[in-house]
Amino acid sequence: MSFKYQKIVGDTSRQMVLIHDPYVLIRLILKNIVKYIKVSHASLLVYDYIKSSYILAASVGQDKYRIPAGFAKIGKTCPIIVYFQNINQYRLWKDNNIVLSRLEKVYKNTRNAYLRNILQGVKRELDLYGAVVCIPCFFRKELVGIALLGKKQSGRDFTLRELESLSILSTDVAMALKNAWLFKDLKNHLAKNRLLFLNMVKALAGAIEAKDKYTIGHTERVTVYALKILDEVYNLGVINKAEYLKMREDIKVAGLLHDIGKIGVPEAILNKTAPLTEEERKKIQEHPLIGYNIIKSIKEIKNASLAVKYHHERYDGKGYPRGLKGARIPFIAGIIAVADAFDAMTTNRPYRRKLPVKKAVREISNNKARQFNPIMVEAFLNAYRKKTLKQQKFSLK
Amino acid sequence: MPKILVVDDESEVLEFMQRFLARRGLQTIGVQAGRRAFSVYKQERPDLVFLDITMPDADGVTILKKIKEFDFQAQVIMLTSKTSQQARKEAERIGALDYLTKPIELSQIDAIIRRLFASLG
Repeated sequence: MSFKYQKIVGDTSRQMVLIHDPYVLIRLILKNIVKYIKVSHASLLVYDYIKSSYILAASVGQDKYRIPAGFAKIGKTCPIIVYFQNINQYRLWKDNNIVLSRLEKVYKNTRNAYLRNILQGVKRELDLYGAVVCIPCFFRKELVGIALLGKKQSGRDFTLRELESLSILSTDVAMALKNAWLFKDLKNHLAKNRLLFLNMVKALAGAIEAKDKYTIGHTERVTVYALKILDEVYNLGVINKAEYLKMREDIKVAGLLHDIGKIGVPEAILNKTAPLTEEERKKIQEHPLIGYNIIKSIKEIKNASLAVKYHHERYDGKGYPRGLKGARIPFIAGIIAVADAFDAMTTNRPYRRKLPVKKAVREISNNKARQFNPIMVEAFLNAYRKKTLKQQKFSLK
Repeated sequence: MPKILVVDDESEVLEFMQRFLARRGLQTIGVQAGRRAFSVYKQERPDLVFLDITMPDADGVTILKKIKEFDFQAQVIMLTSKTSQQARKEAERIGALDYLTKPIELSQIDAIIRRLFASLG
């Protein structure tokens, strides 16, 4: 009977490289072990730095031996761990694994009472788990996990080759776990940084609003509207999930920063109640470009910076600063344009009172393919009909 | 044969405990709906109870109180996912035998079972 030892190690190694989620990985490895070595069940306990113990991460195989994830743990004082921590001292067998069937022999023949105690404890713990083999997963000298295997379905002992394959697998498992932790750490780090970044952006946007006193809350409202429009764009099937998720993040930044250029516009002009002169209007129309120039050096928000630059472009090409037409206007700018216009119409301005919502909606609809991209208008109308446009508190998460 | 009652809203946990205890030679009754726990206790009069503290439809500490009021010698072990010092103190005050926080060392449950067997003679 040929046993494809290479296959189990090879398969698993290949799969491990592709998968980042440690739990998906662990289940896969355990399933492979059950499949190829035909054991009744297999569990993996992973070291938890916070709890300082090995927590059961996954358990596969026959129902009657399965343990719910996160329910059981093995502490550092457990004889199994003690044995593994001191494994070089004992050197009982060629490999690092604990195998119940060969434990008995050592237990009977050793005069070391301490060792006998440990082995007795090991046996007891294995019994509790219904396991006959315990495989340590060392990453260099660090014990990052332990795998517990049940009896083989044939009832036969584990062969040396099987134990060797399991040992090889264990180093791969340890490496995968270590990688997964590092990856998770990195993600947490990035997430914290991102939150910090967005908070800074929000503070900056607030500074602009303080200057332009008639539009307090404007940037937040625009962001909320834009996100709702994006939801509907996604529902229309115009973008896929990955694009949607990326754009959500970009819109949060774009929404907050789209008027940052107003920092370069004199307050007197921004808050003027009377009609603007030609020169004053030109000054205001500089704000998208000013804003873009301020943030264009931050490469993480490249997409958002396009929204800042082009949110006053018109679909018919009659907008500013460059008079881009139709599909040449960046997607994200088109969304911000609608959201911005809607909020402008539904809030009081120095020069006119706000419009009723219905009227504002009609204005947007009438300007389909004129000022606004038809897709964005359709998405906007869908959001309006679904009543999701009603302003909610904007969270940065 | 000693009888154990296990009360936990998670079916996976309940099933595991029942299997685990059965392997140790114990008769186990499982209850998933917290609100039935007390009535099942009265009916079955188990030698030991494993009682989950946080369940959606009932509060473990309240059930503990009812059981203890019914039979002050009842042996109840509390199980919980959270380490709430307040809940722990309350449970101990009411008379819980022990308080285990998930994840649990199986050897701890084993030790409890051994003590139970020893006490029953």
